[in-house]
Amino acid sequence: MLRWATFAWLGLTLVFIAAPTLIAIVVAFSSAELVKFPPDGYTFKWFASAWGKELFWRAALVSLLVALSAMAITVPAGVAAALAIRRSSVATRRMLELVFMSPLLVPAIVLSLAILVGSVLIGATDAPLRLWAAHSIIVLPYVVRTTLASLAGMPPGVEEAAATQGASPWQVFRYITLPLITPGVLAGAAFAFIISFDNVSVSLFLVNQKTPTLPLAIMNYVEYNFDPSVAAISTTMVALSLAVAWLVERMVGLRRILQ
Amino acid sequence: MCSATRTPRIATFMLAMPALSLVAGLIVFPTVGLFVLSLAENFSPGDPVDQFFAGRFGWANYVRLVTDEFVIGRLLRTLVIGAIVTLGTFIVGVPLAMALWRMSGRAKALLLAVTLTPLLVSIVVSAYGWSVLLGQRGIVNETLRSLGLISRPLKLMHSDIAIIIGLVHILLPFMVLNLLAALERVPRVVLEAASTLGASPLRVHAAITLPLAAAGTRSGVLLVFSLAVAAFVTPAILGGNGTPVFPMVIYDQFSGSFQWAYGAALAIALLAISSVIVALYLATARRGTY
Repeated sequence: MLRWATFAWLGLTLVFIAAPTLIAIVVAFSSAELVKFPPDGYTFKWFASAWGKELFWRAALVSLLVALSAMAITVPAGVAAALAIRRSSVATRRMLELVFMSPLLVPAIVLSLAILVGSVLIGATDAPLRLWAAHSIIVLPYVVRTTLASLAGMPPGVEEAAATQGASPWQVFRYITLPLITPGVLAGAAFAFIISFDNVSVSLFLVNQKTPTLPLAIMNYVEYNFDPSVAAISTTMVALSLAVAWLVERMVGLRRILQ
Repeated sequence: MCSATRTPRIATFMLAMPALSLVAGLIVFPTVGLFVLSLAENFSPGDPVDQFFAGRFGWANYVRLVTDEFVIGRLLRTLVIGAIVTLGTFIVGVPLAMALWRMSGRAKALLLAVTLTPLLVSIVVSAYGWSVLLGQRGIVNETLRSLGLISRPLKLMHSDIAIIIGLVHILLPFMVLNLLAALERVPRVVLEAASTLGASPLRVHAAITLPLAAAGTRSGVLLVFSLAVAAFVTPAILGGNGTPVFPMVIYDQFSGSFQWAYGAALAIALLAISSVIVALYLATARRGTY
């Protein structure tokens, strides 16, 4: 009896977790103009309509450029930071970890406003530049974490072995450490890409309304339109996120990034 | 740790340098800028940038904040919503974390992946999904009506209920991950000992598992509370234009009424509140389980 109650409760929980995403997917494929459930028929026309909108394409391009340029800065910086953390004493290590986690601990709206004010202060109010700055900092914790996780997963002693054989610190890094952590670092970079691509809360004050990022374009679109093409574009984003998540799970495990 | 490859302290510092400068330039400097702006007593965003430091400085915006009944009311309401959301994630999260704790292998990986989906899907997409479900003619209302439970649609969207549902949904993974980490640190032998000595499964959990996992529970609660209080986008979409949360009041100062300096003071207040919660979180998370 208790067992069945537990199962039922778990089932309800899973429905709750999956409901909003599933509903967006169902709406994206349903043929009716008005959102209806269960749908009368299925179609791809909303995908055609969404992908045909220049608005979404341009927004996706903005998001893509922001995410890639943020990673170009943060991935090397984050990997180096993780190496530094590993070399530090326990006290320094704790402090550095906290410093590099800080972008997650500051409320997004505060971070967004701070960068807005900072950009005004130094007179660099270009929207792409501000977005680049903001996204570079919000993905830093994820890159540091995955790199630390993959450093911890290295076979013990290989670096020491190379060093005692006369390899310089740079050679140890280039030929031993880097090849071993590359899958983890790539997974971290992929996860960082999704975090940046999906972000709304930090971009909010920083975008130029004429050239929004994709999530903000969706948010603006929903305000005035209720046709299912927005569900289609959402479904596209979900597919992209889940594909990357699957990749990350295969390479380092999602939990190690998120915890 | 790796003594053979240990490089001099200066090299370690150089390695940390790029990331440290990112934090300094993109978190510390902008936050100090925001704080300075919050002290400006007659700055408006139309002013040229040099006006930023030219005007009078003082605590006027903070004095206004603590005497602004509207703002204090919104702040209290936000804390109440945050508490309800935290309780909600706890009630939904505990059975889920316990199920994950007992599972292993593929089944566990799959259930964990489903649990984490709210983190992996853009909050705009989730909010859109909820608005389809909770709207006037949404699926929840239509279902309740066809079952004859209600005669007219419930107002779910643009209400505190929608905000709470949306936030419980996106914050649940944080609660579950914290609870699971705490449970996994509970030594199983202790539980086995208790059941060998005749304790019922329910008694084992009530008397041993839960107390041992208490610290992890505290850190999960604090983390979710801090995120719920600071959440903005989900309340803005699900709560509608007049959504009664504190971050929305901050937003309005910047986008609607153009009172940047006052908005900056409100933002610093939010930062202070969440810093206190985060400090408590770090203290409990560090102390470990027992």
